Amino acid sequence: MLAGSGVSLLVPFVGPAARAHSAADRLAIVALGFGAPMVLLSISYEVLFYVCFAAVLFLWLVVEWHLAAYSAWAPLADGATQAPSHAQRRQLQLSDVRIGYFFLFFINVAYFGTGNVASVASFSVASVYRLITVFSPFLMGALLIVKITLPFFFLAAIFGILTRLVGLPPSCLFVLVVSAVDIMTLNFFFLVRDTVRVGRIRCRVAAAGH
Amino acid sequence: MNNVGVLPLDYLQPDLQFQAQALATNARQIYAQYARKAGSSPWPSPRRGRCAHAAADGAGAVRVAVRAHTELKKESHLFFAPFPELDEQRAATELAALDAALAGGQYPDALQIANGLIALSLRGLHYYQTYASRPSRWWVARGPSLTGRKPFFFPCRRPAPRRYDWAFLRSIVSAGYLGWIAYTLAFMVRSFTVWGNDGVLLMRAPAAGRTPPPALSRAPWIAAAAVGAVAALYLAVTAAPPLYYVYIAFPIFFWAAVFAEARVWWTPLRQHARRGGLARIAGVAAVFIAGMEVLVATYFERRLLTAMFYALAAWPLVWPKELRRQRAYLWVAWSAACCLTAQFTLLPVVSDEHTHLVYVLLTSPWATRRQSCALAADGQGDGRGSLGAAQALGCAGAGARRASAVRHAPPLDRLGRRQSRRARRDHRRRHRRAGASPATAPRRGAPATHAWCALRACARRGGRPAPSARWWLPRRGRSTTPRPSSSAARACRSSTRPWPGSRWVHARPVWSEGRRQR
Repeated sequence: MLAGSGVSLLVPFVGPAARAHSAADRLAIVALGFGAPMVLLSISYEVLFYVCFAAVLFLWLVVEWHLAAYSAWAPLADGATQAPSHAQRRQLQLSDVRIGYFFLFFINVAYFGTGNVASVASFSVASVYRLITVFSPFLMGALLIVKITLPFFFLAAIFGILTRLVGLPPSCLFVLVVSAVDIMTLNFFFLVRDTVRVGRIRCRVAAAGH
Repeated sequence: MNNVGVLPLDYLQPDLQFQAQALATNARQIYAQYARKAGSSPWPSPRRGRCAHAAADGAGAVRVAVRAHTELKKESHLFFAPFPELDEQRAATELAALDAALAGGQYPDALQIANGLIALSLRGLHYYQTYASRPSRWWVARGPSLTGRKPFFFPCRRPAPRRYDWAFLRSIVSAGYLGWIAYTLAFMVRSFTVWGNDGVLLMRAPAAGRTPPPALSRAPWIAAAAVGAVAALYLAVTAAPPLYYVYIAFPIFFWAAVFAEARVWWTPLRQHARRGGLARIAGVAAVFIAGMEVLVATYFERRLLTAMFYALAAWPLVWPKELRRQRAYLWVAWSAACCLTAQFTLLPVVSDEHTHLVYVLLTSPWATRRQSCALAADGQGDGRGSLGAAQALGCAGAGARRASAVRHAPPLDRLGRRQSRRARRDHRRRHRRAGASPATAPRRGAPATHAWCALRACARRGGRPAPSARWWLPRRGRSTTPRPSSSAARACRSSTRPWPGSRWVHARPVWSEGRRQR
């Protein structure tokens, strides 16, 4: 079973499928390829979440593409046969901040959609029991982490394609996001406390173990 | 720091003597922790003779671990101020009063005194905890201390409690983060806006057709070196831990880099300001930061994401009107998907199994097939007998469609509209006669129909990409610059346009050149 799931995870990304051509094909392969382990590892509504999340992301891609067509810069050349050179790529605009913000928002959604990624302990090990019946913490933890990060993979794929689709250089929006995410980091830095009541910790441990 | 828990008296049996003695022991223990931090003796002199019983029942063992902790701190800090509320004298009187109350049987008084001592000790512990927790050994060990004596310019006799390191660390780390933000922004301006350094870190060669970014200036680096030297000297004098040098290096480096690139970001900013675009930038930045604060709040309240999704569902309201009119399905699909996904953050976090859901998802295609077979067999539509309720739920829709096909009812399209297959075929034939490829034939109906047809066409081509557009391609765009176009695309565009005014029908994703070129 475990081997089967491993194969089902790998098959879409090796062999002829990996050499898919258009962005849409590739996105479909990524979404469905990550969908297989998601189905295997889900114990509740995770698959539904994954499907809805992927749908929203795909529609986001389409919408941004359309909006780029309505902006001053035209996103794609008619019948272009090569990737746009440096001169053809457009410059960063103020409206691109929106894409960066949406990306961060979707990261949060993937973060809190089915649980809290910050504590793997809050995820149920029951989802791994179908594949591993003997307790082995490292393998189980690895599988849990894989399951948790699956929506992030698809989000990353969408973001990468979107960056090119709106005609920006590859790492451009990523730099914007890295810069913006430090605003959040600063917030959390100022929320750090050096004291906590023992009762609170106990509550959290109880909630995590529950 | 641990072992500073306060005894929960409510859980103890309501024997006042027992409570008082337990809490007194607790107070002594916490005070011993404080005394270790403060560098004073845990059992001050007036009490020393009488503490034999306390030492005997284990609390005195703490004394072994106590070392003169603050003596080092006094030497290594420029402006050291001990915790003013609880010095050795006060502690001695409190402990003596506690002992007297216990001995005299005044247990409520003993409880009160012990509680007060615990609160004071905890506050003092917090005070010392937020000091630098690690005094330097080497500075004190090597010769006389620079700051061993009290500086003569010390302003007041009883210094107010200050939390030096907390404020220091916070400001340094915040400056580092702000510097990093500014640095990445400057990098973005240099690489992706008006200048031609296309995301290249070290290479200064401009990309084709772009202006090279202006040269760096050296003055900020010299200033940074000076500031760094002063800061390092300060840290050495205050005997800060080595990690502090790293903390202080980051903001200096980043801000120096930002100011070295001042001309890179200052020139475009000034041009923007002349054109009156500064207010727009400030507005966007303010909205963005507010949005980030909301995202921070979602870490504490998961349901905020639901509200944000509902707000996103209303996003089509600010789209261009043309887009909303021409691509109605797009905004409908977007809003529906947003509303659907919004529900998940309202659900409880996944911790239990709900196999019914999995069962429905896994078995619905299989169940559909079985049910349709059953339907075809008895022709009645009552093939549900052997299936569970969950499966029936999952496949009811598909079963209904199959049932209609079995009864030779006129086929419905995906929207449920009556449309004969022949009508659709004729429509596409007419289109093919006009000269376009069948895959570009405009399709009526829902996006699901489009996607399905595209998928079938793709399968017919053996998985190769369509030579033409997908249904989700933008319909029109306003191109300001002439774009290079291949002759085939130009010919196709000039001859037939499936959609009037369409420019994007023949656009293909530019990175999709795989097998076609081979």
